[in-house]
Parts: sequence; C-alpha cells; structure tokens
Amino acid sequence: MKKKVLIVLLSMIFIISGCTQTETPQNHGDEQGDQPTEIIADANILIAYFTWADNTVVVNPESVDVDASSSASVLTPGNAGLMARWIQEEVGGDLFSIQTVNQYSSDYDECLDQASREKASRDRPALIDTVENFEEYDVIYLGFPNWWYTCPMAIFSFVESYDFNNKTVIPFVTHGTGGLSSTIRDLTNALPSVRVLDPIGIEREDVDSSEDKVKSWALNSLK
Amino acid sequence: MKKKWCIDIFMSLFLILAMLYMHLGEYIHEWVGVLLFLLFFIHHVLNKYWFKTVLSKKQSMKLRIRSFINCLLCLLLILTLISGVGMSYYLFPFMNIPTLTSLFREIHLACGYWIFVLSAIHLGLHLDIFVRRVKNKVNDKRVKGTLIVLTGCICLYGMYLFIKNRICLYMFLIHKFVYFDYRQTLLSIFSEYTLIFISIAIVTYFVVRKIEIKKEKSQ
Repeated sequence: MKKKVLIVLLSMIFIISGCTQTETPQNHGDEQGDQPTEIIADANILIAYFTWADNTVVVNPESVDVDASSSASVLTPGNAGLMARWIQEEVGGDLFSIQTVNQYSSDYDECLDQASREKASRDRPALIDTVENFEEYDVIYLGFPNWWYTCPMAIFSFVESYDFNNKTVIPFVTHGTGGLSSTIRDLTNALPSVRVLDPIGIEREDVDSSEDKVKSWALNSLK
Repeated sequence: MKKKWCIDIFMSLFLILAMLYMHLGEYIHEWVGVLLFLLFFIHHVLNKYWFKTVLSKKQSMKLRIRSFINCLLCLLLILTLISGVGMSYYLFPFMNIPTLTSLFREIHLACGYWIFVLSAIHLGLHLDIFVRRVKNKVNDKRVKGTLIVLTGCICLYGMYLFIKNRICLYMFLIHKFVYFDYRQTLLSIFSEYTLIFISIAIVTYFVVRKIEIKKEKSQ
C-alpha cells in the first residue's frame, strides 16, 4: 500500500514539475541580458551571416525546384542572406557573408552529412574573408541556419576569429522542424561574457513571407 | 522475480533517457543506447519462454497481439542498433559509415519513436498483473476512487503531452528533425516523456480490458 501511495505521489510531483518548469522564462546568455534594456543609439552595426547559398555551387540553377523547401535555400541570397538584407534595410549597417574555403554540397542530404561530420569532429572550417575594422562595430547581427541541431561550424570559426568583448550579438536563425534546438545555447557558450540578445527563429518555409516580422524584430532588438 | 522487475524499471528509465538525445548530448546518448541494448538483451534472456509462445499455434487473441508487438519491437531494435552504431562518433567510430548518415539518422529517429510507443503498449499488455495486485491490496473505497481519478488525470495529461511533443509526427517522419526547446530543463522533459510512457501503457490496459469484458459477455 505504501508503495502505491509513493507511486501516486511521485507522479504528482512529475506533473507539477512538468507544469512549472516548461514555463520558466527565457534566459539567454549572461546576466547582462536581464538588465533593463537601453537604446543602442548610433551603434555601428555589422550584419554577418552564413548562408548555404553562398557556400555551395549549384551547377544548373534552373534545375532547382523552388517549391521544394530544401532546395529553395541554395539559390542566392539564401534564407539567412535574405533576412540579413531586410535587417540592413531597417537598421542600416554593413553586410558580411561568412564563406568557407571548402564548399558544401548543394544536395540537402549530402550537405547534412557534411555538417554532421564537422559537428562531430568539432571542425573549424577555414573562412575566405575577414571583416575589416571589426573592433569598430558595437552590435553584430549574426545569422545562420540550424544545421544538425546546432550552428554551422563556420559560425564558430567566425566567432573565434575576432574579439567580441564589449559587443552585443543578436542572432537570427532559419530552421526546419527542429526549431532553434541548441544553436543559441552553443553560441552563447562560445561567447562567454558577451551579451547575446533574444534571437529570432524563422521556419525555412516561412522565410519568404516574414519580411515585416524580421524588420520589426530587428528594430525592437536595438531598443 | 524481483530481478526481472528491476531490469524492467531500468529499461524503461533508459528508454526514456534515450529519447532525450538533445538534452543529454550525443556522448551520453551513445552510452545510454549501449546500456539500453544490454538491458534489452538481459530482458530477453530472462523471458526466454516468449520465443516458445511465438512458435506455438494455439494462441489467444491477446497472446497473438503480444507476440506481434514483441516481434515488431525486436525488428525495430535491430534496425535502431544498426543505424545507431553506423552513425556513432564516440563509442564505435570504426563502424561509422559517413555516406549513410542521413539515411541512418531517419531510420534511427522513426524507429526510436516507434520503440518508445510500442514498449509502452507492451508494458500495457502486461499491466494486468500489477493492477490485480493493487486491487487485492486496496480495499478502501475512497482510496480506490482517488486512484481511478488520478489514473484518468495522468492519462489525459499524458495524451496532451503526446500531441505537444509531436511524437506522431516523428513516428511517420512527417517531421524529420526533433523539436527541442533548449530552455526546458532535463527534469521537465524527462517527466513529460515518463508521463507519456505511463499513459500509453494505461490506455492500452483499459482498451484490452474492455475488449476482454465484451468477449466474456458475448460468450
């Protein structure tokens, strides 16, 4: 009898913990994010993004079926590239496309395989270009797709190439059914003591119709 | 007998932990998977009689359903094992087949969720022993009533969590990537999957019971 009571009690605890803990408020990154937000006026803004389209070669663009969700993002400017342009239209700043020396396959599955291998071996793919006068920027919008539940490894190459001290990072992510997964968690871990603001995540298929959403988010992030 | 129960409880625990791939990280997930398969193996050794019942022709409907689910589970387990080892980076890197990762990932995902649901159904088909024991021990009507209401609540909440966690979408690969909320704590997601597991088992028990009662009446 005692056992049964115990089981019942345990399940009650489970329910309660399930109810309460799922609703814990968001907390991204460090404590600084919890401070009252100040307006970042006259900030120098960099919009850096990694997009599949800029890191692959499509031999015959006309052969790409734009209606297929996995194919549309291989055509320039790519999903993250498109979002980066909207952000620029809204808040200004300079665009920078993060590109790797070794390109990725334009085939969805093959690209995913590549991404998974890089993730497992914690690769830091070599990047082609560097941002000039990086130290002059205050705010960096950082965009990328969710690859295999985390950021593409090139994002970590990028983040580790510069000194992010005293900078504010605002991530924007395109994703499939996995949502943001562990992209933001891994990014904040790679940027300890850097202020990382609330990200925006847009589902791949909804990117085309999300201009207003992205723009208003970009503006609000600076307030 | 106690050993069997212990193995069963640990097996359920590890199965639920295996579902929390993202929250535990890949390294722990691989270890959980290996331990889970060891437990499955011991479970089969301890329940050897099952193989004999599969082969026997005289079976009741309930036994037939049980055998069918058990065979399916065995098949899915083998598929999950092969796809898991084929993708492994930490424990079996020498067995990793990089060109098949995408295929293995989808097999592993779908089979994993089917195993989760079918294991819960499997538990539900054996729940009558447990329920009989509880019935024999609980005589107080009030306690009985509370237990029934509680069971109902757990079932309803479990079904809600089943939908909320999109289990069905992964089983049929409608969604090919599992949605993970990195803000949700391990304890919270663990309790959600535990409740889903328990409620599937309870619902299975009641469905089977209902069918049995109907049959008894018609005879």
